Amino acid sequence: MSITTENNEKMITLMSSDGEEFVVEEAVAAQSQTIKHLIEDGCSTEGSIPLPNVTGRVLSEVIQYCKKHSSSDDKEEKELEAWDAEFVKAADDHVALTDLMMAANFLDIKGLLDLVAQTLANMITGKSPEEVRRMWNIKNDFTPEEAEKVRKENQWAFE
Amino acid sequence: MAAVDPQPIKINRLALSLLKCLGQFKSATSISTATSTPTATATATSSLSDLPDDVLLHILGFLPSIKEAIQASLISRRWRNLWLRLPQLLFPATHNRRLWDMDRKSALFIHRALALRPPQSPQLHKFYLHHVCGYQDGGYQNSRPYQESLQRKRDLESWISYAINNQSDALVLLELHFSTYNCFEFPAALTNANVVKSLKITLCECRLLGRLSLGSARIKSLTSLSLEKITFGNYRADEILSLFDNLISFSFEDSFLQDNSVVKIHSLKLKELNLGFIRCSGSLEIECPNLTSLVMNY
Repeated sequence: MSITTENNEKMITLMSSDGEEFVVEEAVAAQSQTIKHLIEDGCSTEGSIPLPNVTGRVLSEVIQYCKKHSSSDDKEEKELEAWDAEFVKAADDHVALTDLMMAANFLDIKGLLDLVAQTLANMITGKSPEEVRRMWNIKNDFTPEEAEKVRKENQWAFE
Repeated sequence: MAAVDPQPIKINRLALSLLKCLGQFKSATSISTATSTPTATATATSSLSDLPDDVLLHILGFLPSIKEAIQASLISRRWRNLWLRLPQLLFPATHNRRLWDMDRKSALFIHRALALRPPQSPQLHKFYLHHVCGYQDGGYQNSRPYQESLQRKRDLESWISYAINNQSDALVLLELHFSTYNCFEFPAALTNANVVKSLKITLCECRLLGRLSLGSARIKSLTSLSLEKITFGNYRADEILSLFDNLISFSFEDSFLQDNSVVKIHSLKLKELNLGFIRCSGSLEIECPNLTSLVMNY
């Protein structure tokens, strides 16, 4: 479905995995390389673009980010940085950030991918492997002997 | 989210196109505003484990140093060798207390890392070696430190060759940071390839720099050069600069120049110039019409 606003901005509809629909300006949606390619392939003239990997909750956050970043120019860099910091803070916790990371990867939005990757990296920094596992529910599939071996062969990095 | 396709973007995009085409057969559903009413409760149970390797690597790349990325190898089997595939290998500075040389453990580790790095790893776009080579006292040809520094020279050549052979065409940023002193020669692997973009050299005798111009293979790719604590001897600083004709950024600090010499920095391309604590009684002539930033410290 293609509609046009008063400003002659072309609008497109994005549909989340759980059926939510979002009408956004094409320029906003095109921050996602994945969506941009779909538009270029002529897939957006009718109906909505389904995004089977992104839930409505995550998609609304992604759109928030894209809106901000398509309306700001370079002069507002500092303000944009502060906005980004607030944005990842509002994403609440590491699980929500992981969802966001997954969406940014699927939708191919480089700025968002870097922003979230940096935030997740900051969260991992200084944590023990056990703490990282607990945070993200990762199973420790090393035997004690294997873990010792890994530690030994990478001794240089643990000093 | 129950299951998420952990495949790379290209595949996803294809799948998406297919889905889209199917979608066109459905009648258009009602349009709501951007803050539409939720039709289902979104549940998030994502774990880092759901992310594809590429994305995990992307996160590892934002850790403060390669050491943290390596420490992550203890998380689980999947993480064990992930760091080897990082597109940026930034080996931190390490010093042996007695020698001004890379310590043996670090050298062995770098060897091992490069040997184990899978061939299908993403191409390198950053390679950082802080390499202090040679040793301060100089001259003891039969001493163990000297022999070790020779070994390190061979190591450095092989590491640079590895980086050059595995760098990406699109994102060439080979960052070498190494220091030389006395008996050290400039690595041939460096001069034979035109991929190095950024170079920082400290504690170096100028005749070593002169060797960069040997043969026809100047480092044309070099856009950023930083020289620190350089002894110029019989070389003139402006001759050195003329070896790098594509420089955009040039930093020159803490160095001795010959008395009464006139240093000419003439460049059409140079945009950033940083001069600090240069000792000379001669004069300095700057002719860089495209300069956008000039910092001088005395």
